[in-house]
Amino acid sequence: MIDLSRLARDLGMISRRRAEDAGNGGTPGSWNENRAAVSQHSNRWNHEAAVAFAHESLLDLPGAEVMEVAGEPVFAVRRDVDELYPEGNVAQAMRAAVERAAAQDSDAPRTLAEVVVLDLETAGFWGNPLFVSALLFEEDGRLQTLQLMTRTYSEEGAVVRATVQILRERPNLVTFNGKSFDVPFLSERAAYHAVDFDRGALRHKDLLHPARKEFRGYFPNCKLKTLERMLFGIRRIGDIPSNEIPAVFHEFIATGYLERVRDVLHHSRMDLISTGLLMGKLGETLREKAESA
Amino acid sequence: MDAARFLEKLRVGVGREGQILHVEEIAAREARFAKLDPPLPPPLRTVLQGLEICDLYSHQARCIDESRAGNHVTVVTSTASGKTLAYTLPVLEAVLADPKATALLLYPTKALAQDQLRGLLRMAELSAPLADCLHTGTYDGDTPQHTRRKLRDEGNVLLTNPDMLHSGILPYHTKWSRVLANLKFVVVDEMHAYRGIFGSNVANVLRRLRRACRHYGADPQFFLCSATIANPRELGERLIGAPVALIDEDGSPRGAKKFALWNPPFVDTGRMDRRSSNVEAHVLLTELVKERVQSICFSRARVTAELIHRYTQEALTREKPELARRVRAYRGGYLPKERREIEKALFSGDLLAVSSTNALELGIDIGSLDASVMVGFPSTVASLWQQAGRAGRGREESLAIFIAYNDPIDQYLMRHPEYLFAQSPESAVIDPENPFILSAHLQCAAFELPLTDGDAELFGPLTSDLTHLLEDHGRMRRVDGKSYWANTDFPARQSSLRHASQDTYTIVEMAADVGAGSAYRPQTGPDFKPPAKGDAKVIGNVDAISALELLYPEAVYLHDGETFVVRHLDLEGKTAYVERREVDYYTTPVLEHFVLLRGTRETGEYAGTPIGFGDVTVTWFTAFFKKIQFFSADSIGFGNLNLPPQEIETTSMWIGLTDEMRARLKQRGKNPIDGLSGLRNLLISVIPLFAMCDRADIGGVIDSKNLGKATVFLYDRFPGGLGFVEHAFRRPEEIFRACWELVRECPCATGCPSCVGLPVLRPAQHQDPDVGGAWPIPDKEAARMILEALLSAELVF
Repeated sequence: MIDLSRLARDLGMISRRRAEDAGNGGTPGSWNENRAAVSQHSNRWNHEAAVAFAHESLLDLPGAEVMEVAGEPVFAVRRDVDELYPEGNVAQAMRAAVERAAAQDSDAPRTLAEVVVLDLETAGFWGNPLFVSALLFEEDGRLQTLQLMTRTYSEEGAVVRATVQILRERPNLVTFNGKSFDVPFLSERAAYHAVDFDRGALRHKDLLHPARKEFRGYFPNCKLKTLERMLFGIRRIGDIPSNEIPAVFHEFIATGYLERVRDVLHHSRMDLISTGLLMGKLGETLREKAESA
Repeated sequence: MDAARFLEKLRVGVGREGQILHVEEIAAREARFAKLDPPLPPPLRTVLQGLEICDLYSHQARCIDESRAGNHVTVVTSTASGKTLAYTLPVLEAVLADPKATALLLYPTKALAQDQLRGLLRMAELSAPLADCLHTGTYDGDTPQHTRRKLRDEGNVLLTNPDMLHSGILPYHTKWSRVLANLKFVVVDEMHAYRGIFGSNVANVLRRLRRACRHYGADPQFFLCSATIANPRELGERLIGAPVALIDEDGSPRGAKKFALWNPPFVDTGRMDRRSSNVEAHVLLTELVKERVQSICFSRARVTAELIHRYTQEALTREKPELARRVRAYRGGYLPKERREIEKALFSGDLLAVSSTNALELGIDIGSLDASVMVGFPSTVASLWQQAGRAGRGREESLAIFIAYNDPIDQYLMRHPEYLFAQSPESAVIDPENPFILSAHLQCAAFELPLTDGDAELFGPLTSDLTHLLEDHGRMRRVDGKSYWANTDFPARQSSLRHASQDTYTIVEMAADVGAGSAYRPQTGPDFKPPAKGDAKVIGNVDAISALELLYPEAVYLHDGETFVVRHLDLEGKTAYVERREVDYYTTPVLEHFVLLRGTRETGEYAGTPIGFGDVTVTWFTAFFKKIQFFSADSIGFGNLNLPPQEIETTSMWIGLTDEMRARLKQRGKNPIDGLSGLRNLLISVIPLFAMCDRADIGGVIDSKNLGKATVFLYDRFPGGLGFVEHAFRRPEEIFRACWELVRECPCATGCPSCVGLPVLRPAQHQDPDVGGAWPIPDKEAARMILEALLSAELVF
């Protein structure tokens, strides 16, 4: 919380300084001269070194790497789904769903390798930046999660560009509530960074709507957490609540403290896997509908 | 209407005590036309034909020429001069030429925007090609969600207000990328409304808009329309931060107008008390209604508008009962539904008279009115002319009557009509770089796009210091040379554009028999039980600062002519619970305040008298309240209060007395404090004319503790100061001279409300200025002696 009375006092100092300068006809003085006197409580430790240390520690996370997407470095965490969730048979379920859909619809993707599941963790609602862009897809026969993370404010563009690039390569998209949130959010961040993102080229299946249709009346609500528990017996222990994730974003950039970031990455992976399992459960055609731009 | 005949009737009737001091004959004016080269595209020519417009007025054509040339334009015109066409035509021309082009039209209020939308839709009906390419609508708090999405995705001419732009559009500029990337025009209507705090904030919002457009590669042209003020070019340029072309000749025709100055007569032989201006107003309004002249009456305060409405209704009920229901009251703070009803009834002619505050001052199309009555000077000449301009649309003759309060400036204007009719009005002043204002907008800007060094060009030289300060406070964080928003707050919602305080209090009416306690034994604190939902309804709202001065427990609150008594004020829940009661008095708050001098910036001596300028902390609170009877204006009692104080840190100018001066006063048997009180009152009245602010923007207090002797402290009523009293500090000669003229010319013997009187410490906008008579009046001569010493003039009697 901001200390308003201190801010007011400090602003008063700027007011006075402005008057002095107006009276002297001189150029506005440098703030740095007075900074020490005014901001006694701000951290005096070396912020740049702390940031470097935090980014290095991030690389200790399992699966962490700095990858290159379209010629740009992006921090990513890559995990194998069968390692994460050996008894889940996630890949199997998803493959079966794709086959069912392909059998009923000639336009649907033929193989799991053509499909990607997307889930975004953000620093808040509209207007805020993208924190973690999480994707679930099959590569070299193995199902993996790939999480691209904005480690500091200036890296968001790279994460957005990388995500858009991946969706260009795999336009068969599966999400949970992606129609109202994830895809529009990505669209906006793409517009912000002047990245060309053609929503219309996506074949997007949002599982929320068929889930509502199929499970209405059976469960107390249609939240992903509820569905995963009721349908797959998954119980998340100590899961970070979604509304705390934005604060973690800013805190990590300010302090470099890793634990909560770990929690966010874990939460995000669980969301991806549950969406994949849900895809397997819903006995529907994975028919694509071109998303209108 | 036949204004001359009506005035004659007044002169021998209710005006027979010589209230009519002056009648200015404003001649009719012929139209001046001009042609456009190249001419307008065919669809727009069709529209003009449909509107029965053959030619454009000269100023309309010039506006179109300038905007075609790619310049920012500021146009100054009077009411009903066709300024809407002046900006609508360039906008529609652009949209017709390029289907992707977009335009943003800004109005100070939602109501105005909705009114203008009607006009645009009417135009579209007249031309099929125009209707095909125009996708327009208002985008404001009332717009439903699906319409908002449609406007963002497809709209090309969008009408909105600065508040929506500030917190509903700019923070979400990514949703608006299409509109902003193609933005060709931004229209700022009623530019003169953007002064003081509001203007300083809006200037920053417009800079943020330009910045967001720049991000998407656009650089829109601005089109600003203003009523007559002395510095339209300066205001336009300060608002947008870029040079403008000025068009200030008005080619529109107007009918003749008679502008009468009406001074209520004295009611005592001592010539200190005048009859209540509210009483005079209702008498005039009653006469107008009986004559079936559709009229509007403007007052400064809500309380007054309500009172005048009430008095008029009572008079009509006695004299012409069938007309009594054709009078209504109108002000902000009513719920939107009620406001719309009144506007419609005016337009249809069902309503004959409206008693309004300045809420109706802006150009809402309510049809032709024939007469405008103005009670009390509305703090600027521009406002007065706007109010007068509400009467007389078209070429019909119209009447304007300005009724003076027993108040220094009003009486001064009564004696100096040339100030109203010859001199050009005052200048509008804004200070977008006030650190408190700017820092709020830098935070909003950082949320929208990270701050860079280049932003100092837009926001001014303080940008760098303020950005570092905000970073130190954890609001933003610098990464790779840019300052990013670094927390989960939403800054646009943490600041308001219009007030120093951004909250509003809700007023809830409860039935008389509900809950414990009653209007006569109001319960506060833990004993009060708020009513259940079904027993209560919301009847309006006020801003938080005024709430403590208007809705204190046991306050009589007037709403739509009815009296309510406040039973409970919930400070935390920001709600006032009121109960309808028939009472024959109203209440007025008494404010106390204190000043603490924190630091001196400059000192000087004026004719040997020390004056200074620096920073102070002012604390004030509503100490108790008086009960004042209707009509007689007698004080019938007091009530105690226990409300929390309010505090601001601001700038102040002070004047002390030399020992010699004090001795001389004592020699003549005068009390120095009394003299300083008079001086303070004069300064508070006069400074607004020169420093170009509202009277409510400055305050004054007499204090001996800070400097060890009695001193008058005048201060800006806004944190950090807005430059008003500073302005006065830098030109003392002018100010003291005007004060001296005022006190010298006043015909009273020892002091009266129209010179040194009205010792209202803080003229809260809701206080009835007519109540001045209930207060002790300082000694006129003591004040005059002080001023003469300051001006080193000889003591002349």
